[in-house]
Amino acid sequence: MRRGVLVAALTVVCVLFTALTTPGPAGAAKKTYILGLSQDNIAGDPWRAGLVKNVLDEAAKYPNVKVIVTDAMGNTDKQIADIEDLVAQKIDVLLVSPAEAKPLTPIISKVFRSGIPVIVLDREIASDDYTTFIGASNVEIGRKAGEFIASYLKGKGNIVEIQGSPGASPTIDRREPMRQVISKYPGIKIVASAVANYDQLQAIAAMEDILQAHPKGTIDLVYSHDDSMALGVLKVLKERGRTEIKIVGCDGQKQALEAIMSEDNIYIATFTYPFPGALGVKVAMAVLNGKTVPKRIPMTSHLITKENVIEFYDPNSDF
Amino acid sequence: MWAKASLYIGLLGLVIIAGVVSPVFFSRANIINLLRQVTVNAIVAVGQTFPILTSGIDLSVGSIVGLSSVAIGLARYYGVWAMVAVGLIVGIAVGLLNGVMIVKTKAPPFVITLGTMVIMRGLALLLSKGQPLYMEPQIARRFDFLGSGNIGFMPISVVVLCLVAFAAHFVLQSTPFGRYLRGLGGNREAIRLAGINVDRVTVLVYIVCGCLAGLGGVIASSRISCGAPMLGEGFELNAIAAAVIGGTSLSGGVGGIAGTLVGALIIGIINNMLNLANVTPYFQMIVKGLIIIGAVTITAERR
Repeated sequence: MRRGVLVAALTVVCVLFTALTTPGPAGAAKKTYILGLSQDNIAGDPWRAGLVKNVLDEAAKYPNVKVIVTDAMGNTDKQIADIEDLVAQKIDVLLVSPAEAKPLTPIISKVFRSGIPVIVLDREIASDDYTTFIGASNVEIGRKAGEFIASYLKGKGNIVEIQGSPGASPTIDRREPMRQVISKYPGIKIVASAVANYDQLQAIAAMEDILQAHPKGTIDLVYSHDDSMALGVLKVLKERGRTEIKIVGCDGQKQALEAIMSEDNIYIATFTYPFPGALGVKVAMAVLNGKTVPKRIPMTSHLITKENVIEFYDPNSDF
Repeated sequence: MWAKASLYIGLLGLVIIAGVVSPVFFSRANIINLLRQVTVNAIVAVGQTFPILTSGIDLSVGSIVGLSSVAIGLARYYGVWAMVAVGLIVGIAVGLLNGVMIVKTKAPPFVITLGTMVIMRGLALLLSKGQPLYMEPQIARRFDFLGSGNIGFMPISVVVLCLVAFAAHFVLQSTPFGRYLRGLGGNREAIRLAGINVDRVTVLVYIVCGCLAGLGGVIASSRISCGAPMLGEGFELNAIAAAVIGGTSLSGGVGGIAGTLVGALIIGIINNMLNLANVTPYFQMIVKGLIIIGAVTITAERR
């Protein structure tokens, strides 16, 4: 009996919910464009959450644009379903930020061939079936980091590497090109490498251990695959008085910029990894208005050091 | 008896190996690092020991750490003690919720806390909008003492752990509540027939566990000066591992706080030793898994 009531109540809730959320007949007077944004992981990834905000902020400038956002929570199967659901909601443009390129390629291809423009953000897919790709390159960051470190150390020194999640493409792309560049300098050695999974607490523990194994004078610089782990390293270096060691991070996070600005000169550099979101909305609007857009719009990663940090600093930024 | 002795022999063996592998292992600075690094897991694991002793489990502890951290981040403009208080209150509240739901629905704790684990992580992300809440430098400086401060050369977090462990040990060994909850894991019916309010004991068990997870969240947040919604991911597994390595039986009744502390230490030493020895990170994971299995097979109660 109680179960019956519960089922009935749930049914009513579901019906109400559907009634309230299903869009009514489109207003004939003014065309509203719907942009579907399929994001791989908003919840667990501050950078991707920032990308979503970047899209929404830009879209808010257009009164006739509505954005539907989905979060696949790092799960590729869910992202495929999310995209199918977005198409079912009659989106005009698909903006998609894939986690893994290969598994998403078929569904993106299908959407594109059905006539919906597709703008791929941040990570490329494995076919040409899309309208535009916009994104920065982690490979570029890795290479620039290697070049910066080599020139900063003048070709000689000991490096510690704090790695992100093993096997993740940003980790590989920020690691391999950097290693390739410094391998040309026999005087530069990676004396320790730890995995901290883009987690500050793990980076702190790893750095504490590494400092024990490598006494003063045996480490010159720490290269961290993101700023949040680098900020953990900074904390340890200050606590242990190992301020002779320098830090290079990646991402251009606000707190990292503040550390670069500070007087202690430990955090010496980071690299921006710009959001392709606002540009994505602009391109979407151009496409909807019948304009031709370039197939690839690369965004440049900038090296941030004390000299130029103020140009990139935004005290009101969330990221 | 053998199981208990072998646990300490195992710890001793690991310590000796660590000393051989890396000469700096026994340095004072490293020992203090090690203790500091195990504190959060050890505190959460001490809490986890309570439900496990009743043959229950609390999978939500990792998410409680995250939610507590976000609450601390949100409360950062209201002073250090408010931050500590909200962190603990979040833990107590989730623990109460877990306990009440387990008692009322009579569903297995594994399922209920699996549910709250997902819910609380979602809540943490919702409240923080998915972004870490960084403490401003002047706030971080005042809140840092829990995670980074020292009394003499002893980290404050380690002192907190000692106090918590002593209190938990006392509660389990020398109070009626301790006897009842141990009984719940052994012979639930006998406890009920003795006229003990089993529901009240159960709810209290999950409150203790939640509260200590909240405390873990306070210390971890202080360490990173940040309210981080994803903080504590996977902590439930480390806490369960610590308790189980320490000889607490997953079917309840057997085990205690001392074992759990040794279990947490063993996990900490493995991490510390492999980092000191500069073992390739990927290989570290394999070694860690093998040592966990080895430790459990040695210390497991012979049936």
